[in-house]
Amino acid sequence: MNHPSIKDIQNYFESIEDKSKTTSLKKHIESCDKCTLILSQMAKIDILLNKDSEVEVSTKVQAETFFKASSLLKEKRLNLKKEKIQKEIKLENIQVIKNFLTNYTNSTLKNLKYPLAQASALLVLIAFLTEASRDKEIIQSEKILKNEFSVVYAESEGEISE
Amino acid sequence: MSELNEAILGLKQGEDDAFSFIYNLFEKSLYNHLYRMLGSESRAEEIFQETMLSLIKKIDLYSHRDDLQNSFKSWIFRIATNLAIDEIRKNKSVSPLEENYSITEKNKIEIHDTEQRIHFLIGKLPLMQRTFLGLRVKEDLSIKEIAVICKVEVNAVKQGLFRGRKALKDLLIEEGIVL
Repeated sequence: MNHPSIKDIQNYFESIEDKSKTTSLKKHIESCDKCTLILSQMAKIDILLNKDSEVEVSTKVQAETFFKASSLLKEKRLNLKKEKIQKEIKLENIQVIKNFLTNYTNSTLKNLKYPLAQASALLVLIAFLTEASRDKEIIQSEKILKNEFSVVYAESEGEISE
Repeated sequence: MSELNEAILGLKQGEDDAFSFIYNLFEKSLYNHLYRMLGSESRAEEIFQETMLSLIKKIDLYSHRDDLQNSFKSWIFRIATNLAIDEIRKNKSVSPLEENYSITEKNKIEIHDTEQRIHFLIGKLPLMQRTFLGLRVKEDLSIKEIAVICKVEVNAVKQGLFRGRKALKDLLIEEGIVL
């Protein structure tokens, strides 16, 4: 009689056998005392392993763990609160810039007579937008500001040479 | 959403109740897993506490794995296993795989009942074999999950389980425990 390999028997035992082999394996095992014995010994070992005595965490360690965890959790909550506030501030600032861009044509900055100051202010705004977010609207605003900057910068070069 | 998933989300928000839920769910199994690996209650307690605190620190890094039935359990057991292996390496210069389990004070007591005898014999198995067997039989984790937890190949787990069962069978026969 050709016995299945130990690997196949183990896979069968662990229920991870190759599906194509299942039927033939089952058929063989049903009629083979040797393979049935191997499988039953494996099962008995697992039953015995389950009888292994268990240990319990001492109340001292339990209490200590909860005490330390509590301060870590508190710190986590505080950090989350801080992050939320920072995010809100950032969003507010972005909104201010968006509003500014909408009204840019009529703004003081656009009509400022000093291109160098204009260019510097635009640079600050671009840097802020780059740092703030990567959403589509912001990238679009950034493009507009960069175009505006190149125009104003060219003018400011004239201002410097004067 | 399952209670565990809710607790995971809660823990990401730093909620005390969420931590308590996860702690209670895994305390016993995690501690016994560490005890099986380290063979000493005091070392297991130390690493258990470190695991629970790491859980809070690392929870934002956790993401569910669809290919694992026990994704979160595997993740938390992996943290514990890594810490235990670090602890073994830190305290002994030899490879942790060759380390022998010591039952500490229990060694001195004459072993009477089957439970204790089995416990003693499991302790004689090499570290990874008894770890694999514990995770498979006691924790009912899949071979793939064990491979993820112990950072080894699936075949290494299969081989370890086979050798572990065989070694335990031989030890049981030696001890006169009939299978």
